[in-house]
Amino acid sequence: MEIFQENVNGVEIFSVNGSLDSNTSPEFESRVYMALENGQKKLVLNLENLEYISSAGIRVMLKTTKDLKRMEGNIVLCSLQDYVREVFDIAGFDGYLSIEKNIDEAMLKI
Amino acid sequence: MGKVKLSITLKNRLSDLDKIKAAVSKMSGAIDCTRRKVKEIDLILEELFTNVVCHGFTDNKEHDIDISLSCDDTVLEIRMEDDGEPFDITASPPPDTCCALEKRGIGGLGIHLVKHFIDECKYSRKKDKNIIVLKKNIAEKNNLKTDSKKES
Repeated sequence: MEIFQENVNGVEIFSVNGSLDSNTSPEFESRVYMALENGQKKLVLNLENLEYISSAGIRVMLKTTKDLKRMEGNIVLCSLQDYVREVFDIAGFDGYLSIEKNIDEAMLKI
Repeated sequence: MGKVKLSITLKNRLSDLDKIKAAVSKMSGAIDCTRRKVKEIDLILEELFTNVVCHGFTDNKEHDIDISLSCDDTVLEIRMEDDGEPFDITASPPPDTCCALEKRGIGGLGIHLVKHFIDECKYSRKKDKNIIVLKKNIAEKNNLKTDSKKES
């Protein structure tokens, strides 16, 4: 897994590449929560190059979504590959999470 | 193509997940299987393995978890044996995916994902061991679009 992070107009954008599994999700979680501790309340997750996700990765996203809602922040996911999209659908998280087709639409929505 | 068989014995620690991924990668190189199916197989095994590692044992001792994969061109059979607490995967209830976000837990999600991606599932408890045997069709039917991104 690789994580690229940038801040554009007050929005923290995480590009997560590779695999979000039980071994890599803790690092992803700590990077996200570091941003939250630094006061970031608007997060975009660009998953264009995320090839694989398991329930461990979904767990981090659900937790982040809940915490940001409590903090009156927001999180938008974008550019999901078919496999990742299907895992979200089966998990029943497509209704809870804001998912956009591409990064431009995610930046408009956040 | 003939049958491909592969067996691994893992310990009850999450870092052994890498050994599963290596085994799946090795097996997928020997059979006719799309990248998409390989991801589904990775997911099934990761969820089964992490479930038993995180919830299967009440002591702090080391335990063996045996996984064997047997595959021909159309069907993959996964067999997992562990000496953890009895856990009948076939009786595990699905998570409530319709409740409010605040109430939505993560419990049961991994097994829910496993059940979605397999075609047959049997559980038995013998000599203090959980034995799970799963079958998954790996022949692609009309579902070739998933890996078409780089081809188009």
